[in-house]
Amino acid sequence: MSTLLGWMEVTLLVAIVGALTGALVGSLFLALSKHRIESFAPHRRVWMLRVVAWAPLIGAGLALTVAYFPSLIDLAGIASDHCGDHAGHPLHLCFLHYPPPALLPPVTWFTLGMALIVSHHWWDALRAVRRTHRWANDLAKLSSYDEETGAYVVETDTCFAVTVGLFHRRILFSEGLRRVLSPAQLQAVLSHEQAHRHRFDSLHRLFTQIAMVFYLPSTRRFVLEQIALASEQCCDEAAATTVEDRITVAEAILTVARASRGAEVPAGVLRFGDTRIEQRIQALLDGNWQRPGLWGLGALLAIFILTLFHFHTLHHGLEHAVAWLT
Amino acid sequence: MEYLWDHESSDVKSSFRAIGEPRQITLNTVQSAMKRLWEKGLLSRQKSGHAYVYSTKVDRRGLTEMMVSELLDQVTGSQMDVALQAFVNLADQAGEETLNRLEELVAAKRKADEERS
Repeated sequence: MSTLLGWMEVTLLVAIVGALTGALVGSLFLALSKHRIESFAPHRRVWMLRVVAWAPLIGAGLALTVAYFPSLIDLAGIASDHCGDHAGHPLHLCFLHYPPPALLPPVTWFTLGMALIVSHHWWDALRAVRRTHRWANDLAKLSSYDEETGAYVVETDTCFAVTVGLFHRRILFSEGLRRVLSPAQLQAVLSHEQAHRHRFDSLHRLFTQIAMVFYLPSTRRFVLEQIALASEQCCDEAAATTVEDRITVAEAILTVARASRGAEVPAGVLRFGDTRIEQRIQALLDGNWQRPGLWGLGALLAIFILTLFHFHTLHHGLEHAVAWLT
Repeated sequence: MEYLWDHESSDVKSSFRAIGEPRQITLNTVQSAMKRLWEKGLLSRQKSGHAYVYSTKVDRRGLTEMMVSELLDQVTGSQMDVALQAFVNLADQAGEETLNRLEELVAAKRKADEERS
């Protein structure tokens, strides 16, 4: 039992160190591209930012692979572990043939503290989802299905259009909204919401929020806001394609913004006309995006190739680092 | 509420016979539900003999308006503060001046587009 707990502790430490390294790489990437990021086409921007958001999890995955790959292939019977190569090494990360290294008490406390912070953050995100789900259900109870639009209509003068749900996604909008918009503008709003539905934006947002726990709060806020803006712009582009007029979408955003001022909806709900109106309108009017350079993708590939070719160096380096903490 | 909207007014016993018995809920449950709705200001009541006769104070539309407004208020209140962490309501941030400027910009673009075609 103590052996299992010992290895769990080491695994947690390796994952946390990998995640923090990933967060550092992601933060550096953001620092270098922050001023240019908004000029990229929204769909590219969303993916770039998602990779940044997921960098800590990618880092944790890579660190765990580097640490345990030799033991895992031995366990699977593919190849025998390289325990023999470790003569004279202070420590060997092999859960098959060696006991877990005993970490220094401050390292154990750091690991447990980080695990608690991460669990608390994830629990908070899930609670927000539950709260939003309840909120959406209450709103849905007041609605009726409208065959003409394929959405749910709430008979109220308050103006809103929302996409709710993570897996079972529904579009709800108000009668008030239908009254203030022209048919073309309403189509733009519904196409925008349909795009949110097809893109699983709420689910992506939840995963991103969960993955970003290892970043500093300011970086987390920046990335989440940028992803929210890019997602809205992706849906604006989809709406513009459907109604074949970018200005109609811009007009719809402004009409909704004016009609729904003061009404807010929770994080898990994607609402038309509420995210960075100014940037969205400008993007719809200008519509000229830059192509991002391929250096980010190249850097990622380089990390993978280096990991692959210098696997043993990294594995032994990691073992030396862990040995330093025991 | 649905029953009272359809029947204008009713005492507890009649409501119980119409909606309580089919749903197998007790007279007390119907009575306390109607009392709660009266306390919330959704029903009015008048004494008739030993019983109260209830009637609705708001119509369907009015109730929906109240509930939607309550739901939207929940978001700005403390109950939804965690969910609001990542939420940026730019409809509020875009003030009157910004909206006016953007509307002018869009109108100018629309005019230019129409002149071109």
